[in-house]
Amino acid sequence: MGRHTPGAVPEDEPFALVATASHGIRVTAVNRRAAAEGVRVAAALADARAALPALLSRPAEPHRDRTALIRLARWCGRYGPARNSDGTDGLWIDVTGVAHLYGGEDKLIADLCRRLASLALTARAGLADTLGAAHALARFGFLEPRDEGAGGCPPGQVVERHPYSRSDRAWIIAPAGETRAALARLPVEALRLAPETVVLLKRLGLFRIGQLYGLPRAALERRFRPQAASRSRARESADLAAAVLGRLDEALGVRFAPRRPLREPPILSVRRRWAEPLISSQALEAATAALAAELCRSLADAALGARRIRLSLYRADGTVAEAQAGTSSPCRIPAHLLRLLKEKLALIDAGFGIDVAVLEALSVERLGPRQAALGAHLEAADGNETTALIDRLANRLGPARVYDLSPRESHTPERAEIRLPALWGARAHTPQARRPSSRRSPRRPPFLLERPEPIAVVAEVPEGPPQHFTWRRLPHRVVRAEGPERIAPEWWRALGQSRPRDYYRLEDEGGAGYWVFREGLYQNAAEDGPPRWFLHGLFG
Amino acid sequence: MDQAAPSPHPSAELKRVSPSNAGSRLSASCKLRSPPSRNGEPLLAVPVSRAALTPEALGRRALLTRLRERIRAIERHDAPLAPLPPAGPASDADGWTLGAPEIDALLGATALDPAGVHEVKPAAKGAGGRAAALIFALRLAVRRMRQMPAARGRRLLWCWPSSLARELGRLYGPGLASLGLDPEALLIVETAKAADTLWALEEGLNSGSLALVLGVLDEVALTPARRLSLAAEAHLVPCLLLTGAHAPATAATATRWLLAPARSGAHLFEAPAPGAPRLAVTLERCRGRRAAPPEASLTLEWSDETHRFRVAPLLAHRADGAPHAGCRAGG
Repeated sequence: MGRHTPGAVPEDEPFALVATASHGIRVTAVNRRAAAEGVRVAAALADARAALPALLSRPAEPHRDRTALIRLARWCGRYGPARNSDGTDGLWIDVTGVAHLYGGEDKLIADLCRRLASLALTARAGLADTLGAAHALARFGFLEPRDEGAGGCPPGQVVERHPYSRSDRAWIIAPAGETRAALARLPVEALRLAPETVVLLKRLGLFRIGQLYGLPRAALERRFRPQAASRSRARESADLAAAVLGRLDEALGVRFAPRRPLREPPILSVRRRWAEPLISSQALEAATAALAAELCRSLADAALGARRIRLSLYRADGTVAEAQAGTSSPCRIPAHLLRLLKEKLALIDAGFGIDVAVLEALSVERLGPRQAALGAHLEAADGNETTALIDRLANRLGPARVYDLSPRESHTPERAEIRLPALWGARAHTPQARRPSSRRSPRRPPFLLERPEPIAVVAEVPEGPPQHFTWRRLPHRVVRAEGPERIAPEWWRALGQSRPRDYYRLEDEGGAGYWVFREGLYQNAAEDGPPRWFLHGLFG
Repeated sequence: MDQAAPSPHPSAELKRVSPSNAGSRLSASCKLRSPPSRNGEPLLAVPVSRAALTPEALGRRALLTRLRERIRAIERHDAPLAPLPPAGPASDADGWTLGAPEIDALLGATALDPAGVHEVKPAAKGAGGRAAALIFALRLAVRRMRQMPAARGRRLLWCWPSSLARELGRLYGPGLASLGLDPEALLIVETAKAADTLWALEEGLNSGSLALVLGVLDEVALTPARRLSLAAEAHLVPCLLLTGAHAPATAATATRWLLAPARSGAHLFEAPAPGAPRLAVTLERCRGRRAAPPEASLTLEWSDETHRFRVAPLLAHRADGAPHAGCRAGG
């Protein structure tokens, strides 16, 4: 129920968020006070108002909630690189290999809950071997005895507190290997099943996950069958049983549950945490330098070089600042990586301070070991200086703005060449492309307009070169002309849309050279329309 | 009778040959270039009137020479004036020349300074004139890549704002190849703002690993030009600044060239076709030397075969005549 405007949710008055559903306006969320007064989620607003006239309400904004949740998920990267939102009201984080940085799972989850609380969020957390189990613990491990019936337990049966939970904590941790025991008492809803499956399970008397453990697998499918008379129904029941068992296996870790993190986890990652948030830019720079040195050591150990790196700075107020940098060749020189990041650091606002910094290598390539003693010296040599220059230019100006020219097999002038971002480093890898020798190939202008510009032309004979032309509102008198050079359209590309071109090299009375063409032929003017003239390049 | 040929008789009534009109004389007569060392000191030391030989005149001469030395030092032209290198291919190895002895003579012994900023600027507004200036710079780059052993295998950096790239067209590889420049050697930067172009140019110079840095800008203020010049000097990488026609002149550049397109030479086989490309070139400024007065410009012709400039022959139909037979005054 985190709102974007602070103070929008009153603390001590019943408050509900509402949304228009198929049968009128429904309550989608309530605050604590309203819950205490008996307002339930999914009740009609009219009913709730009838029972509690003082109920305040506002329309729900699911898309803004979603954005806020994603932003929170990004910030959760401080607890593990793989994380994403879970449903519309939860997050999952893969903390494998991270807990020791916080001094244990207990301290990690305590830190998480404390920080979420400081962001004015009420959070429940579950930590288990599998995503399914953690989901179940976080959502169904905290049912109060008061919630009798609501958690899906058989009526009349009192829900007892989860054995791993403690009243002073907002989290439950299932120790490694004890997932079965931890889940046994939870209701079957916790398995992330479709509502009708849950209803069916309850009708069969299966209320808790523990009840499913001992059941023979074939028997479960048979139990669903009495419901199903026809053959299609039989297949449906088999599907239902498979869904239940699949979810159970995923929760217990028997079957791998695919999950999609917010972002691809990095290949290598180093992180630093500080008790006091960093604010000054010098401190940030020093921290980045230390991280870069550490990352380069890891890269050297693995005989790798980084092509793309990302620095994530987690601010104390629950936001993340990021800086990405790319290199045109695999690199593990801390000074160079630092230099690329430093320019972007200047643009980063530290806000209330940065307490976790993570430097990740997103893309790496093999880079053989180098002699350490000579390395520093060698890397200052020419070839590397140029790639370092490309990196600096491309990282500041944008990769598409720094490019190489690469030839392509085509007779259409504008298609005979492509611009490849220099940062891709394709020039170093591909063998020297064969260009036709300049002597034999027809003359081309050194400057080619991005798209041909229409010109108004006066020609002596229709098929001949122009005598006058007007380009950019300036008249030019042609004194010399060479041509035509006919370039036919490539028949495998959109035939009928493009017409043959007759290129002429012109010189005006001032001596300036132009490359113009006439698109279309006079003999085909009846079908294709009259030919048109364009200016395509400058000879100077 | 040619005025510049020193008379064997000292009392001959010849006018004092001053370097201020040396340039115009150069363009007026090509015989000046033989003997090849007719430039700088030897030319200055031909005062032919009797008064110049009196002791007090000698003292004044020494004073003048000393003052010139000081001016040269102030203008940071440290290299002592050496005699002109012999014209021809032998000079290619030791300097960045244009290949035309007439204009190389104006540049002096060091030719184009490979550690300086050179400005190339069109004489008049318009896309055609601007393209002519840019292509002159590209041809200088061709000379540089082919002449300097240090430049081989290195890359060229070409920086410009995208607005100019849209106006004049993007660099086109096949066209560059027909100029004689390897398109693969070019690293092109298109920036959003002119300030970024200056930054990229300075980065390029500071990396010290490039053969040449070319920047296209409408105008460059004195401070950035001076910064570029210091960076070029520190890393021994030359920089060509291709400014617009209305750019104010800055003192930070080593040379400044004024370019205008000129009617091309005659085509060898096809009369109505454009022949060898020609440009009207004026050396407006040359640090440490007096340059030709602005009204004196040479029409240079570029040869795609030899990748060098030469002074365009006077006679229209002698495309391949003796290259030094005559030359034209005035662009």
